Amino acid sequence: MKNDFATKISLLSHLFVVKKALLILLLILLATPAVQAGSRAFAYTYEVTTQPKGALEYEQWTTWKADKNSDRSFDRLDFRHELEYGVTDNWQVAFYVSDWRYETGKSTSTDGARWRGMAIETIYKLSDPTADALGTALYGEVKFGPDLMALEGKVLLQKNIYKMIIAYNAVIEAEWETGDNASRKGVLQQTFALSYNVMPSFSFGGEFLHEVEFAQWAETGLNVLYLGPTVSYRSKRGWWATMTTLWQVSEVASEPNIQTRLLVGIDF
Amino acid sequence: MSLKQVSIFLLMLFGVTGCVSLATLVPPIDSQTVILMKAKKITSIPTPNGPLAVTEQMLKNGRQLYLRRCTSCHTVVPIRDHTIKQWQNILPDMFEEAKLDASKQRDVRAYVLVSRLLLPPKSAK
Repeated sequence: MKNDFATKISLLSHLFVVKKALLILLLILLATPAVQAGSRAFAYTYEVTTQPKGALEYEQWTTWKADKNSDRSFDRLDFRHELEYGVTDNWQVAFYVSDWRYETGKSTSTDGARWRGMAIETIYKLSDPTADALGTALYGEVKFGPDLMALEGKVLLQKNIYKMIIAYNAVIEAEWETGDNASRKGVLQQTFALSYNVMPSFSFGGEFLHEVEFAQWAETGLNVLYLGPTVSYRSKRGWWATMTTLWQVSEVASEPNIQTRLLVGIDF
Repeated sequence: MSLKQVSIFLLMLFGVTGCVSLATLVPPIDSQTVILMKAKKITSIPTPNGPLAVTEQMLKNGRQLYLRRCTSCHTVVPIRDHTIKQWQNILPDMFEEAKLDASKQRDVRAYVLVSRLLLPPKSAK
């Protein structure tokens, strides 16, 4: 009972810190000069649309994961600094300048900050979600770091119906880790998202995420399911922000019960 | 709010949204358009550099660009939602955001303004 209360207090204080950090971030961004804008309606699900030819955008990712049933003290912040560039109107490349994380908890190998690596990503749009019957795109990513190498492929589907965006991603990932946590695993993931554009600058909706891991590509892990709301704002001053909070709706003790991702994009 | 209530809300939202056809929001360019343009004596549109003569091909290109490029940042904005004057103020900012070159800007401007001219004026509220 006492432990539960302490956990709740701890979670609330974390939420307060995150909210405060987000508020400060938004205030800083409001003060940025006028630049160009592109945007994403969802934080976890990729859309088919790519940057226009010649457009360059900086994206800041912040993902907070917390509260595992098997480790109430678990807390992780993942940061990604990404640059996106439109090679053609249908082909986009991105460079994750740096992926790093800060984590604490009993289930983590090392408490504190750790640099994870960098990555190259590309998206090619095959058909358009508004003009064509179904928007489709292919996604590829190569991630590498001191203890990590990962390959990721996605099929992106999207349909825009008037003010509604419906998107689906099928994801396959192969990951190799060396060092203390040496392992080899595969991940299958699918995401489904729906959003309603209340006005050109603001949309809200929800995201669903399903993930299953295959340790050594042999043992099938548990199905982890997440569900939660998403909001997105696109400023006329050339920046946008999208935030999704997901709660675990399955009961996998080794996975976080809550995760929140904030994306902020600034176009040049 | 239960999962059932959320599902019902989403289905209703989808139903309402799905009923609106793309052709209503962003009118297609076809033989009817050309007939209407002749009837209304629309041969050119105003631009910052003076009147610009419009062609059917220009309008078709403009519609494709409007559907494919403008919806990268937001969902489709119905042509009827703004007056000619409002569109003339909105378009330059949007061209900059979508990084359209001069010929693409010309085509989108032609499509949006001609399509709006062919629609009935917005009723006063």
